[in-house]
Amino acid sequence: MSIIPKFLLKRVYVSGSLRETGEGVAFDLMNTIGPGILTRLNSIILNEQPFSPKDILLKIGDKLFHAHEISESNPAIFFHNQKTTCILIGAKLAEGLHTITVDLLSREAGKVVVTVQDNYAS
Amino acid sequence: MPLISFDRHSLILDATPTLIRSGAMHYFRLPHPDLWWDRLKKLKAAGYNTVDLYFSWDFHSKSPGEYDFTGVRDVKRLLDMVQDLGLYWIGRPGPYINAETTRGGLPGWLITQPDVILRNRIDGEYHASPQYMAFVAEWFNHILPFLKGRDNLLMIQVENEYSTLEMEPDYMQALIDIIRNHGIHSPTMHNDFYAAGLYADLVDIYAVDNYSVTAFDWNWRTFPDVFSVIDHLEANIREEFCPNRPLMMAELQAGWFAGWKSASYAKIKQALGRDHIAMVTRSFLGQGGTIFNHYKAIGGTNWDDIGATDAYTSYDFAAPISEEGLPTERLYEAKRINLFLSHFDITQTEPASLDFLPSSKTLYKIRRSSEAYWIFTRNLSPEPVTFQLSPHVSVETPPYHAAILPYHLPLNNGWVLEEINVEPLIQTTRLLVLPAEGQTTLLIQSPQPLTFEPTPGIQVTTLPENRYWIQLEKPLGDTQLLFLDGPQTRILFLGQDLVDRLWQTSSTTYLIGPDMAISPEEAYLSSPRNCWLLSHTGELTPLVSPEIAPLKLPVLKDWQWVSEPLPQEGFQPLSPKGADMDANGLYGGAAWYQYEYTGHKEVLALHAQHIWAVFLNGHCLISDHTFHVHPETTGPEDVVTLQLPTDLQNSTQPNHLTIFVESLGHHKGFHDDTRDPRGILSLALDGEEIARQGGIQPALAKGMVHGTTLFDLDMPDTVKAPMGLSLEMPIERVNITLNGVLIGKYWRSCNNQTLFYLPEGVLNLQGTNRLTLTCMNFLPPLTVENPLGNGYSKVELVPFAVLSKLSP
Repeated sequence: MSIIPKFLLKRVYVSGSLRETGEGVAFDLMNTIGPGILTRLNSIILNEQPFSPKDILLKIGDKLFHAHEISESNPAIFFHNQKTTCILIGAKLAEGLHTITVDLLSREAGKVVVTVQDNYAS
Repeated sequence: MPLISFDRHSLILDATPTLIRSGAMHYFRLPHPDLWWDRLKKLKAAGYNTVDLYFSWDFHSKSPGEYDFTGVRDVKRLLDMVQDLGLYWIGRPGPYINAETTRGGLPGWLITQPDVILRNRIDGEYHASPQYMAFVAEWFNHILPFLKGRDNLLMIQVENEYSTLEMEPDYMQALIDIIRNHGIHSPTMHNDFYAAGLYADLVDIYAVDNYSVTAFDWNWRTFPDVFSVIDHLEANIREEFCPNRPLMMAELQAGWFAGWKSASYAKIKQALGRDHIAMVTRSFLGQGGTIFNHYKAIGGTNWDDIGATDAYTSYDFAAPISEEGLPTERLYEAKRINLFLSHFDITQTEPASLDFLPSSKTLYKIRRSSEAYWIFTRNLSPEPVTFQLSPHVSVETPPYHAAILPYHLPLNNGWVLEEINVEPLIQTTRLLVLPAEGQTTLLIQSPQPLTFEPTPGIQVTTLPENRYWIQLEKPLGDTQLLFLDGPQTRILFLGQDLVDRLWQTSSTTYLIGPDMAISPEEAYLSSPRNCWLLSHTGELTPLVSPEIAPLKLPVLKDWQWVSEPLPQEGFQPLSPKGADMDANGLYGGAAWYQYEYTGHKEVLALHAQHIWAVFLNGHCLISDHTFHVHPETTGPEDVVTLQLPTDLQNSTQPNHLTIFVESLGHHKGFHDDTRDPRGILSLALDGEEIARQGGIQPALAKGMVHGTTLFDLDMPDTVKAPMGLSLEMPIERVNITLNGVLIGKYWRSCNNQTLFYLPEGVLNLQGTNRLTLTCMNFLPPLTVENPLGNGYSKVELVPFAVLSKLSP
């Protein structure tokens, strides 16, 4: 697993972006590290509830697609300083502090597991 | 000893600001000191002034407390060569180096030491490990004395691409302290994988690495973000982390590695092209960077068990100088940049602007030095772009092209090169060499009126104030050259092919024409062509092109095949620490295991890494592999189950399970995965785990089929012909051993590589060579009835190139 210093991870997660949308729960990531190629999104865990790739929508730039569409042969490209929105389909949020863990495979950095916390207030 | 200091712009060596043009070479991937000398000479010939050297702990220490610095591990000899050639060097002794070496260069014995926490890190969290640091101190006690007192050591790197979750400084500071306590006072540096200022406050020189293209199934030219890290260096790194020290790229991408089940070198070379190194290097220079290290500049070979899991035998790296020591298109591009940098000084510059040049995508940067402006152009589009520099000079930038154009530059002869639409190559007091790219145009001014010899093909227009507009009337052919004689100075225009084949062979001489030239006495051509010796005063002397005689190579024949039976004895009891190879002191290669049971069993479940075969009472049941490029995908799903045939089992006598497992090396440790064990990880019979209840021995000769042949070579001194072994066989795994050295691993299921370099030094060019193919093919079993004679095999010597020596 790649060792990404926490201060860098804090730059990647857009603090305060955790929100409910019509489709579920959404949050934003900002790629402040460098251009990257995502070859698999293994899962996202919201608190203790895991979401598989088929239950996750990604919005990168103008493109919206299911996470399970991403593969080694069909990677998703993260541009430098580009925002990505992750949507957990059907999820709900209670007010308060939430823990989010994103588990992905990147062509450059290998397995990356990002755990962050964010507050949600309706 | 040069006094090494630095300022905001560059290193300053003996009071001279110096642009560091470095290329990485892995001496441990060149299995003979003669190859070090050859490659270092070529590196220098390509205009590099510095070589970057990793030192692999694992390469020098195969057992606890034992260190070897002799023969192919003779570091003193290596560093003497560097010194003799007048090169500077960057030392990177680790302790961790990555470099796609097994365990990232950490010794095999280290990973099984109790209480050692590798790199003081567990899952990214810092954990101080006195035991680990004691071993690191031992390594440094052995390697650092070789580095100490070398006056051409520019910098010493601490660790490699290191970070922890909380960025504790303790480990990095401890390494710096050890280095300083050894009396090494060269600047320290860190190689930051994230370009985020990691440990920037601890080291003297902060550096980043960046690989802009690592996926080869798509075209980087369609990805406008491709150079974004480099493109933001000045904005993101300069002021925050390097306000008073130079910008450095510890690893500026010059290629990428190929491996099992991954893109081949043919694909990588095609994908990167020549334009990648051209753009990435000039982009870095455009950011004001003055220390770059092309990683790698020189290819190598994963001979023996040097390579990490994901790297196969060739570590060519698509580098400018190939694995077999030949120049590539990327070398010609790198040489061209290096030639420019050694004749034109852009060491101390600041961002600038020119009012008449509006910003555009093609105008990458403008910088100003004390004497001139430097216009960096970069066209990242598929269409040519033209912009007007002045009424006389328009700049044409072809697709995917970059250039550095001087503006108002005083030349050594007293002229001022006011404007030019190409990147110049050489200037002396008597000579200006320019590429004839398209219709090359330049505008010069002189203190006195000038008279040029009328020259067909070149138009000279006299303008007021001793200004002269010089134009090629039409583009030159690739192999054409053209002189314009002026008072005191000649201007030489070179076609593209001759630009590639322009070599600086001393401070006062150049060669034009050879494919590769170290000196006039060491210049080589692959085909007859015009060649010249060019002096710094502009005198051109034709040279005699050699005849290129066809090379006659011996046919590999008279193979002697031997089949060794499965091992029956010689097994050592498995360690209580585990059944895996590492726990039993085997850190690479292959192993035989043996287990014994009585009575009938139904199901066997095996988890083994990487290539394995299972034999029951001498009969092979299954042969397969469990191999993943990404370590993260290894897991319980790799457990293989099979039904044990009743008819092969003894009812009353003991049954023997014999299992072959070959390791393809450990991971390189980028993800803290160097401890992932190899060999048998679990073995169960009818659900009962028995992995630790057997015996183990190294898989050397036993149980395999070996073919050996002898062949003679008599290579003339006037010919350079790096040899390869072309191998295509209906056999799953073959090890290639040349004169006792394992120089190749052929794996048919992942047969990206079928041509294996036979390194000179290991290969005897004037005498007899012994070649052995060790065939690991168990299902169906091989026979000794000449496996090469079945019509499917091809085993032959093939030259990578045939180069003949130029007559001096």
